[in-house]
Amino acid sequence: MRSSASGLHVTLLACLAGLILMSLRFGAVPANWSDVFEIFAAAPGPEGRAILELRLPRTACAVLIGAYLGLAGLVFQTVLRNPLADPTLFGISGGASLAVVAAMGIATALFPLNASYGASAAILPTDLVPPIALAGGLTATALVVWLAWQDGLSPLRLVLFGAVFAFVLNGIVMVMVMSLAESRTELAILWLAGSLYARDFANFWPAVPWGVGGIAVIVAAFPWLSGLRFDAQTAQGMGVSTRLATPILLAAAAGLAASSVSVAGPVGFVGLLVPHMVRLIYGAALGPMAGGAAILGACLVVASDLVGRVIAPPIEIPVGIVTSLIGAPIFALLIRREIRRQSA
Amino acid sequence: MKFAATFAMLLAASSASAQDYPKTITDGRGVEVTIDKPPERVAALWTGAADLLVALDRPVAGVTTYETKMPVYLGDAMEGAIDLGDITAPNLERMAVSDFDLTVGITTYNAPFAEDIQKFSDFISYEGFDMDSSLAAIAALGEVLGEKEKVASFNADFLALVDDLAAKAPAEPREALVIWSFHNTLYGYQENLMMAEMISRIGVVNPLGRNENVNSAENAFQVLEAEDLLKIDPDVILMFVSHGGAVPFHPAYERLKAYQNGEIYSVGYQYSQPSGPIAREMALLEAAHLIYPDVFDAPDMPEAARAVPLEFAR
Amino acid sequence: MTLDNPTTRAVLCGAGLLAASLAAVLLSVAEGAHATDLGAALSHIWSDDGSNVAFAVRALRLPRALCAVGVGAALALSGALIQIVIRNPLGDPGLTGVTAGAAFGVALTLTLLSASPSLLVGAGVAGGALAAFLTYSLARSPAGLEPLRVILAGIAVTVFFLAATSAVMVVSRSSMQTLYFWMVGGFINRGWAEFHLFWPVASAAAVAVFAMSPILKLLQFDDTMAAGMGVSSQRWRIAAGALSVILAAASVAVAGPLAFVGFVAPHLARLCLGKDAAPGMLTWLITTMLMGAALVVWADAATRVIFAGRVPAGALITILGGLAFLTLARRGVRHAV
Repeated sequence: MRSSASGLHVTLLACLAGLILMSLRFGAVPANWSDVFEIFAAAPGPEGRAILELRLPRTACAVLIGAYLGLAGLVFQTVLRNPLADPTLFGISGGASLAVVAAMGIATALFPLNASYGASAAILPTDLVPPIALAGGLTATALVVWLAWQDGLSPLRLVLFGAVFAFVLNGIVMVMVMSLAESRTELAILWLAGSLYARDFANFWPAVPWGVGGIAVIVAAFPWLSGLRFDAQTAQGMGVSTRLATPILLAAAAGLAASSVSVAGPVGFVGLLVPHMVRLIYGAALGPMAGGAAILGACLVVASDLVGRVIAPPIEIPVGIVTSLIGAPIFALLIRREIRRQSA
Repeated sequence: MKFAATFAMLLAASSASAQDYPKTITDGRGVEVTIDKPPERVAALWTGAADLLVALDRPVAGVTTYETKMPVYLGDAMEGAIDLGDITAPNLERMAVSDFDLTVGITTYNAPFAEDIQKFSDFISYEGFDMDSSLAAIAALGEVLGEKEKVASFNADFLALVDDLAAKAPAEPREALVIWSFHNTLYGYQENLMMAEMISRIGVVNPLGRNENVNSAENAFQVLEAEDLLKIDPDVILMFVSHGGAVPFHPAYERLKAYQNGEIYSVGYQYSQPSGPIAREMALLEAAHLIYPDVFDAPDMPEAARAVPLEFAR
Repeated sequence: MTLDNPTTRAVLCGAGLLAASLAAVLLSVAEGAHATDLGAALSHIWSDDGSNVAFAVRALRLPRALCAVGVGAALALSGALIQIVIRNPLGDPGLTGVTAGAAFGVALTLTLLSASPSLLVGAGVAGGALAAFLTYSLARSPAGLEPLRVILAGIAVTVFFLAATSAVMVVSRSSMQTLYFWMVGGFINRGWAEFHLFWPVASAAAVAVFAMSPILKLLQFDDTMAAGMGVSSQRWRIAAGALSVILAAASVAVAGPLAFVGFVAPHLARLCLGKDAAPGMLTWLITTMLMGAALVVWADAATRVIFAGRVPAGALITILGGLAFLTLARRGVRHAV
């Protein structure tokens, strides 16, 4: 089994590499393969520079958030034993979005237009976005778990409370967006759609340590994760304390999801779809699945961003909308399958 | 505008001499930018910049759309300009490969992405929500382009035109309201916003007055309910219909003077983006004509940009 | 006759809510750009002197307040119906995909097609019906409509239509901010035209609901119980669900997607009527409608005062409704799932 899992890893990594190359090659302006390889040249031409300065960093961001979301989704679905679990459906994205939009609003109020436009006139300092998103995402997750807790976590309760809570947060975000200054509204809306527009390494690096921390926790807690796949009694029989393991693993996964929100805003359904695809590809072995989820998540986000860029240039369709349009019907089919299985 | 355009053509040969460069200027954000050589290929993310380039009879290398519309009032001058996409999120890749010397942005939308734009050309940005900031931005941009005197004369000519129209306008002022509409949501412009400010300067009364409580003119608008329109009952309504086409009919319109007298107009793009020297003059002259048709003649302008009586969808 | 008597309590509740709605309607009718006192405003309702003030009262303020009353009652009734159909107190038109579907229909019409106002209502109802059909197809199983499946399927459909609406907004790139304004929901510039499109549909649906209230009472319980009394519960569930869709979609077409009214109003009505009293179905439905009307018309009046017209009523409804939802869900719905 081990060798076949590594074989699958290699295949998936090859796919990812191919997608990354395509993402560098295609976009709003035409380029050749030779332009792509010019990024290693000392003085690339205009296309080479566009690839180096724009497509490369945003592709890196896509890989990062895809890997985070895929892994977060796998942990969620495993810990909750819930095939419908997804960070974006659980208020994590909503909480992170709310925190970031609230911070934008405060920043706008504290630094009115024209008063303090420094050289980097970003909406918020990019280093601050990940911790703010993380705080919002973790708070929202904690609230959802608290709301849904009833002698343990029933998967269905969690989906319901998570979804409802996400709607509530979304509503509040909408109201806050409207009370921001008018012209900032457009920027906030673009961000809320989940976009990689103009994302570069300044957005990439601050999200790395938080994500690495989350991955480290998940790796360290891997024996727990294997135990939690089964019901609570089996897990306890395997020596896993569910009361301790569940919140720690959920917090780590929520941290990953929130880090990805801090880079691109909420990108929906990646965490939902990827574990299912990985399960189809790898079977049931959890170890290989975790690696596979990260790679496949990266593939999905890179491909979605590419589609959003080439479909109607010069307009870009935000990556979050592409993933949602792909993901929502599949989510519906998964629910249908769940329903069929339950009634069989 | 004819006068200004002719003037521009006469002076075109003598302008922008290379010995003035490099020059360091402070742009609308308050950021110091050094321009090394006279900018030849200029991308205008801000409509006011495209407008100034056309007024100076210089090519516009790239331009953005606003509400998916090109600035039609600039006529065929936009042919050949690269479509850079929407004003709020211009396409960075197209900017990267178009070899622009200078990119002129609008501060609210484009300044957050300055670092990315600067990788491929010099970047400066301005804001022109009210008249003072617009005039200052145009003057500053003129200096960047090496046309300081000429652009200063544009501004002087425009202020003279405002005074001239104000002097000729009837002593008995009329009331006019500028509205930006999206279906049945109407945003009424208060005097702080440039379009409303211009027509106030020629003595036209703005029933919404000035908004002293906003920190930036961009927020000087009111969401209008039908009853507000009824209460105000202005003589003339100039409406920019953002979605194009007809506006949903409301029975309150029938009670308005402006409706009964056929003085509700659907106005062109230049009213929503009136910062540039061509837009401001064209919009002001046309508005003056629409408000005081007996005193001011219809200006000479592209037919596609001309105001038409507003159509209602019933 | 004490407060413990269910009949007394129901009458008091009804009277209180009616008074609350009426007070908000009166406030809305008296409040506006033209200064009017209440007496003058009321006299204008009865006699039209042709003045702008009379027009404002009769043609602007009154229909707007009536739209708020009607939409509030219709959404509340729609929510109550869903809660009965799926036998679960978490029911809300927003959780069955209907609101999002209707909003998508309207957003599509507003941005991509140049639409007349009457088409807008049609688009809302069409979108809502499509979403309801999708939810129903997803949730249907040989065993019938199980409550949790309906909600899960509804969430899937809702999320899909929200994504599709965002896609429409971004692709059309036009007026995202104003479309957002509409998406929050409210009553700015709603008049007789909207009310006339709304009330025949909504009142016909409401009458049908009242007529079937004895059957609704049976549908609350297990299907076998209904079957034992000779009622084909699946068919009646579908009928009740369809009525709920019509009520919600018509409301969305008038006011945009107002959230949480359909969930909150039935619960507050239950609280008012007393938990232990087990009120009659018709009493509960009517109290629910009055509650929804009072909530929405007060929200509209309050947003006009608080946000000076810059933010639509849906803003207040979303925030307060959301908080109410979370409180009630935590307290009252613990054992529902």
